[in-house]
Amino acid sequence: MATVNQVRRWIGILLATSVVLASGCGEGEAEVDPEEYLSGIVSIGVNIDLPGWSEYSNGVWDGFDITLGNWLSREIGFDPQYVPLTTDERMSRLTEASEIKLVIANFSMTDERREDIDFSGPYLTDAQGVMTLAGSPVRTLDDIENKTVCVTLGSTGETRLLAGKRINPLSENTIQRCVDRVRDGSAYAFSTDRVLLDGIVAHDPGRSLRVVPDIRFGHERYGIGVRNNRPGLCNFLRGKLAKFIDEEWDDTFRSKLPGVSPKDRKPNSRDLTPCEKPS
Amino acid sequence: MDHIRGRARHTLAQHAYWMVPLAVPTVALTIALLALGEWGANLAQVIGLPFAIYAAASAIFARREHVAYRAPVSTRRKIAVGALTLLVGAVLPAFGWLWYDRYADVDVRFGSASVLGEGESVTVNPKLARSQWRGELTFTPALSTDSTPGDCVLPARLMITTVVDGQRIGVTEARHGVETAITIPDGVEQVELNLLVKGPPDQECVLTVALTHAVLHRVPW
Repeated sequence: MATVNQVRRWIGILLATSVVLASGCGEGEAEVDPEEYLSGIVSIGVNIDLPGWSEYSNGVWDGFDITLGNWLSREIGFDPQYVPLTTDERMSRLTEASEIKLVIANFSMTDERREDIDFSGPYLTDAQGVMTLAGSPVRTLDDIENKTVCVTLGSTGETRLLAGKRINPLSENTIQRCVDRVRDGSAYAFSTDRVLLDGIVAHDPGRSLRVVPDIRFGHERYGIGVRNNRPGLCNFLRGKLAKFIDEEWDDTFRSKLPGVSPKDRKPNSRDLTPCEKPS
Repeated sequence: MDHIRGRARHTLAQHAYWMVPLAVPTVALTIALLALGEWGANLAQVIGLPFAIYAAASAIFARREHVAYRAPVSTRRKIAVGALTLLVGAVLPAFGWLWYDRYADVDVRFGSASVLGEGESVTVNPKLARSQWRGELTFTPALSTDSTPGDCVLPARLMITTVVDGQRIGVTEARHGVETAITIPDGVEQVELNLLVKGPPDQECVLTVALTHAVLHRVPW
């Protein structure tokens, strides 16, 4: 005959089993707290040799994206470690196993990229443009048809320019290489975000390059790239970016990109893009 | 062997006074759950766990009681227990059915997705799976695009104008993946939603817009 204690033990086992089964039906692993994730040494992927945006000289990083990274490190409380990336590596280093936690590298937010990573932003808005040698006769997009145009591999500029235009693309890994191609004449023009081209021209001491004034197409919105399915981190950074835009953006743009117009490039801090839900 | 079978038949007969009245509503409840389709399946899953625990615990207690000697149950008591079992077993499903008919959520169908460019609009007519319009209509817009390298899906806003029986009653702003709620007044015959896409500037976004997980919540208050 079963004692009362035995019966109680059986009921306890049944209840415990049901609780375990119920908890097993829950959603996936919880996201790490953003402040915990961004603590200690945080590796940030950045461009390199990009005037006004991300440059490394005499052991010191400088530029708009670097200033944003440094500001975030002070605001959140971590030690930034900048890691130079090629344009194409901005995606791969966030989708594969690597030490990179954030990518702040003139990284345009797109629907296609959001399938593999998350973005927080934008912290700058822009359009695509074309750069040529100063004496070039190029005035419109039609003028570069059937010409060799340098684009950076894996950039939105590459995708957009190749869609519907008869050009001969010349893909390079970095922006600086494309600039060199234009300088040495192996590329007739270089197409990427106008704000990057403006920065290059503003830092060109010989004034041998120019941004074609009337070529403006597409729409670029720079965001901070993070690994996929991190809505908590995205929202955390979104809040920080809103503060950066309100308090730091104007001074940073003016000091890092002197001579470049901030018009239509500063986003509305109250209208940043919502963060993606986990897929 | 024969005397064992006879004893089993005798034991079953002894419990018929509560087993038969319980069987009637159980069968009725099963048929009702089957008739409810997906909602019935969900309901069955929810009530399945407590029922299973209760059943297992009852079996353990029954075994313990069975060993001990019990006096025979009187006919009057059997009738009372049987009637009570039938009453409880019948009233609860009847109450459940009434609640389902009046207050349970109703699935809503929006039809196929629409393809809309920036500033374009379309009117959709949601259809109720059953019942009449009353309560809160909730759904989740699902936007998608093939236009690379645009940034369209998350920044896009869906401006939804609600029209009931030909009268415009309000505009709601919705976004991809975020549940949206629209209150539908009592006594409405026809509901129309006009969807307008407002995308980020200069993107030339073309979005496929579907309204998913659409449900009418018929709150009783």
